[in-house]
Amino acid sequence: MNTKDLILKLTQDTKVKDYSYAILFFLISSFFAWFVIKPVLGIAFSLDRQKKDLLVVDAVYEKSLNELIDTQSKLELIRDRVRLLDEALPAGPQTQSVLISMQSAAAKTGVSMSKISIARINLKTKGTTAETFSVNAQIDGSFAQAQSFIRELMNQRRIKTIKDLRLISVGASEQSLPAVRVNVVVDVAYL
Amino acid sequence: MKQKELLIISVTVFITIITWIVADIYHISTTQKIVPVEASMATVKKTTIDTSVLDILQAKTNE
Repeated sequence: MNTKDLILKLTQDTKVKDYSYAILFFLISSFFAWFVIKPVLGIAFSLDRQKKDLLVVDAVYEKSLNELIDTQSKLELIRDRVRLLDEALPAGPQTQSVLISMQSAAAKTGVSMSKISIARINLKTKGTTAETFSVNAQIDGSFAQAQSFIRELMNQRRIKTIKDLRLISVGASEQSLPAVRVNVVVDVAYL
Repeated sequence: MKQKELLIISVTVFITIITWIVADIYHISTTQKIVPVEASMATVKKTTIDTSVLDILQAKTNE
């Protein structure tokens, strides 16, 4: 019996036929599953996962951008008033303007400023936190004038805090009002 | 080799491949790296501007 006859005989056998079909089915299915279905499903699931990740990232970016836009619109509303902050807390000590403003306050309230001095200034600043320098002043005038001077000083835009205030009675003033000598130490803020 | 044995081998191969595919897909969908968000963008916080401070400053004199 040659090979051809053997194959013919085997293919006519139902049992052999069924087994052959089943074996071929599983082998071909395995081949397709490995080389076709696996890569396709892998790409599909990978893309789905990337989509989910990107949606999370997108939400973060969107939130951040909304915050930025919100801040920008708020800044836009106060843009013309931002200079007030620069005037209140300038970049650098700007001692000249402080002295002028104190002299101006003295002139406005009628007190005489007999002494004024500025303490050491630290010029090595980071520019992120407010620094201060002290101004010592001695003024003479009536109690009411001294009171007005302090009020005037506090009404100025440049941020100042009174660190030390000493009132010394020095008799009567020219208008027969009780005269006082005020020694004041003012801390002036800058960036 | 008998045909029954061949069938068992092909079924085993088929089941192994299907299991492998399922495990691979599970691996892809759970362990893929998340695209990192830039730190500068992730830390943008809600800002509040207290305009009452500006009102107070405006009321003061600049001398």
